[in-house]
Amino acid sequence: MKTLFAVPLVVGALTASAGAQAVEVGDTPDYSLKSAFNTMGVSGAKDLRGKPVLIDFWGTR
Amino acid sequence: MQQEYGDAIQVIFVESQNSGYQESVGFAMGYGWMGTNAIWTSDYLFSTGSNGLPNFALLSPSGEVVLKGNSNAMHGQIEEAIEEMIKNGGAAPEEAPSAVKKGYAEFLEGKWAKAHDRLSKAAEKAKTDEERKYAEDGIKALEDRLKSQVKRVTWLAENGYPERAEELAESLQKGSKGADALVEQTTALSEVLASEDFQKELAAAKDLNKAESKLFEDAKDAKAADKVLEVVEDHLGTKVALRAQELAEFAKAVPGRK
Repeated sequence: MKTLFAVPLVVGALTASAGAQAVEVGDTPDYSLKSAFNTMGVSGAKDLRGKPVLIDFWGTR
Repeated sequence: MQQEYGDAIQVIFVESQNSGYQESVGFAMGYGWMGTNAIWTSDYLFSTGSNGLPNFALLSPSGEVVLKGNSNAMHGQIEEAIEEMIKNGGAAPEEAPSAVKKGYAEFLEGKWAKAHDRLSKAAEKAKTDEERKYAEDGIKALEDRLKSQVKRVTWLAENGYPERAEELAESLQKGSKGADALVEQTTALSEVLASEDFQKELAAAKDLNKAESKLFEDAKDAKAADKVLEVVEDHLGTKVALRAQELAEFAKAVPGRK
């Protein structure tokens, strides 16, 4: 069975921008990556067109 | 999942409790979560509407949100959705003729010349203006994507990933053979790869890859971080050395470091 994540994801509460307008299914969010590790040149949404993107929001606490 | 599907998908982990970039990457490194193609960031990207963690948004190849929710609770649905998207081959519009969809699938697999030929023929043989537009949009998408991949080779070479630059350049050149307009874009890459500086970067990358593997196996071991710092000293002046320096900085932020 494939595991979604090899990491034990922390269960907790979001603290960053919890009140911001949420994306809905069907939306095409635009986002940029400024401080990111292992980007291989990806700077945002446009660079990732052509493959599925799974964005996982996690926490350290 | 990034490991399972490799380059067919992109996973982005977004730390969402204001831990900061250095700390969150160090945290992930300490748990041994590095060593795949996943991207790690603490940048704010967007809200999914969920206040609980972990939560996710799954985007299609055309960038549209197809699923969102609790990552743990929807594990099976996420896998099914990803497999379906990979099977369907990518960013072609749903209503596009099958020849155009095949063309999109081919260029996403790196078969640039074949895809260009298929899409060009689809445009020539189109029975309606709508069909022709799908094919022409496909050709434009292919050319845009090839341009961005060529830029990516330069980025990889200039940011301390010479072996990936070499691999991608060779793949682009191989896939473009036979389509003159595309070959023009990829030929210039040979000059980048042949330079003396690039060869020095490759030598540095070989050493960093060994040190990096050890570090990702046990980031809490200070000796592993020291090995990365040796790469910095041995290959001073290279882009790889700069990358090694950054890696060593993240290793300092690993909790519980011995």
